[in-house]
Amino acid sequence: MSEAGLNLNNVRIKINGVSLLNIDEKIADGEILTLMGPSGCGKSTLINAICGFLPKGFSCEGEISLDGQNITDLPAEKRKLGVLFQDPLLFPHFDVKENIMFALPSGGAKSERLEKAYQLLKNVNMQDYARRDVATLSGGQKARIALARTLASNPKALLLDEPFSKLDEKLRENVRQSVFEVIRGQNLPTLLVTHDKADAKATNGKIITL
Amino acid sequence: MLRIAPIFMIAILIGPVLAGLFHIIVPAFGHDPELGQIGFSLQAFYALKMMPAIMKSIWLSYWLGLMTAFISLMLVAFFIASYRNSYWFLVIKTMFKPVLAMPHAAAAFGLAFLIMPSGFIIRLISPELTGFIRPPDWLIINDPAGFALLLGLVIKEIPFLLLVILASLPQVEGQYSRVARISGYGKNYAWLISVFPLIYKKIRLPIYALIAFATSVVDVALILGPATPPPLSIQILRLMSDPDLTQRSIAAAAAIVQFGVTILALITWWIGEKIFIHFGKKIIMSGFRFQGDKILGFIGFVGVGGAIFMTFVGLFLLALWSVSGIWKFPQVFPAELSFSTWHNEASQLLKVSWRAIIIAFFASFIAIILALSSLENEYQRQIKLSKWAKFILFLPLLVPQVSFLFGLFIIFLWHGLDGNYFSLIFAHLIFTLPYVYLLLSDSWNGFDIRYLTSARLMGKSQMNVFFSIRLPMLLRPILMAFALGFAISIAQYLPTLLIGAGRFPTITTEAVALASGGNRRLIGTYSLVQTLLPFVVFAIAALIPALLFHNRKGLNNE
Repeated sequence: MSEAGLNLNNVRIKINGVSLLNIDEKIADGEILTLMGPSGCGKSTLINAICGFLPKGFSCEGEISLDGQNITDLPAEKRKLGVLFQDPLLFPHFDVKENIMFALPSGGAKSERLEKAYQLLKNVNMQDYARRDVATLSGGQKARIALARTLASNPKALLLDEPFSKLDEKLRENVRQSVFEVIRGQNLPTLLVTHDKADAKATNGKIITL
Repeated sequence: MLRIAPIFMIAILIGPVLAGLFHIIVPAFGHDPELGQIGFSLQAFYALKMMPAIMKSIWLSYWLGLMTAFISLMLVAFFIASYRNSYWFLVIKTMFKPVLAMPHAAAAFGLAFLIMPSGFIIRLISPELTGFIRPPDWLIINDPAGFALLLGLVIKEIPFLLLVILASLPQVEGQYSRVARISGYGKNYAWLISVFPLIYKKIRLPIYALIAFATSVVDVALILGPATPPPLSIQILRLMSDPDLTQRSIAAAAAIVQFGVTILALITWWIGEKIFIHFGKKIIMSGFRFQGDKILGFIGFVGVGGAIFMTFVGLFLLALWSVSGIWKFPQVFPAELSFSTWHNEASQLLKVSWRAIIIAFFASFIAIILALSSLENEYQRQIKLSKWAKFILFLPLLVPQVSFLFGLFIIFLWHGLDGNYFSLIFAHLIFTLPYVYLLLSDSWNGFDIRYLTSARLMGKSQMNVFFSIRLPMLLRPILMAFALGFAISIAQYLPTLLIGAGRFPTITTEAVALASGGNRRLIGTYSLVQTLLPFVVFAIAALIPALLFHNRKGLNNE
């Protein structure tokens, strides 16, 4: 029986049969593990493997388990993960609160769902922007709403794929602080991949350099 | 010189449509000096209303337009949602282009040969499974409800929608679908609610063009459509062709009604969009995760795969009938092959094909020159097309052909311009130009302008850069746009019939005219030639750059 948290048990990612990355790590609840390395070393591929999005030509061996459940072969929608991508990827056809409600699990009256959405927006200090068109938001605001949306689906683990890399340096510092503050409050196992040392340092967690 | 190209383009796209519409309004309301009718009257509309089953004709046109768009769009969306990263997607991507190049009339004949009571499907299972030794007395094609026509239109519009959606797909962030999946939505449903709405925004105008086409189609309706009563477009064609000139005002009134039916169908679709978005959003916001979304992929696969498969089988049947000797029911294949139809029709085939080639060549060539000049002008003057400009590009495709071409025909008739090559080429140009421009603009706007900047910095003039850098590097899409224009011109039935005043029969008008005769060997032969002409031009368009740039890997990628 595997342990709680996100466990990458001897995970080996190969591209056309050639080894790209080997990892054997356990991320406990509340822990943030940072994976650092240059472009092309397989950081984002690992995130894709954990999500179940490996592109053609790539293969993943080993076992990925979450809270004791082997999720290696589950479809992405059943893995109960939350991902922050490099781009915030807010749906442009929905406003801010609709983006959050999109990710909320099904069930509950409309008023309850709305309340939950507002609560999540409040967690990231964006409650006043609920009705805004996402195209009118700044990069930092989008990043915070993307985080709120990620948390809306009640994930059991968080994966951060260089979520601050597209922000300018000044903004990055600010957003990084607020995002990690919220994440720490969630007590979830979190994997961050980045090539920015400042990101890694801000997590106060274990850092692995590839 | 470049500056006047857009003016020419706009004139060609707007002028005939507006002039044509104006010239049906005038006789429809009782003013036709040639017939001694002066003043204002609603007589033509009353006469139209009294025509037997006219309301059913109107209803047929309306529902066919809407259903064709709805079914084709649904099938293509379901297919792409499910198969976009699969082997089958690559197969369909390779196979749909030849189907797209196939003229509507030829595809309709191919389908008829497949599904009619004495068609290939019933032959395949007869007499073993059906007991039929004679074709059953079933009204499969030309059925009163128009289902065969609907099937023919859906089969032909599926490749068109695949083309427009595939062109928009790279512009829309595919990662949205991943966000939706991570949020717990199934693969197909995730794509449909996160990516498809963004694609739909980009393909709205082509869909409106599809609705306009399907509400007013003539050639496919003549082959597969009901006869008692036929769709409104066929009623108009009959009225227009009536030797009794007093019927002209009724035809004009019917053409206005056709325009109204198309507008009504477009408004219905637009209202449908709003309702769909409203309720769709409600469902999405409730967090409903559709668990059975695999069924959508299955429906899409059967629909899209089936449409392409049926078109290829239809093409095979056209070829088979063209060389068939004795082929009795229920034999699956002909008992003997014979080239007698080809032999007997050779000179006529050559004559009508050559005429179609001349018209298509010039209609596409002029479209290419105008589109290239306009695009280069846009680049040099840093102009970006507004929404209105895009709307103008689609105008000849949004207004029913049968409505404005009749008006245009009246203008040409008044000025003695009907029935000559110049008028015919001009009429075809109205339809080749939008497609040629739209296809070219994608490649043109996607071109890395740093090549041009580098060349300019080396001291080359704008003109020199255009001819020595841009044109050779974009030769492949230019030739493809030419081939598309050629295919569109070859398939034109109504402009050839009306503006040519019946004196310039082409391979398409001849093939469609054969529908009433029912000689399958002749239909097979003419339809096959009609299909082969664009195929050959597409093949040449692919071959020329491959030969010219065989040692230039960077210019040889699709």
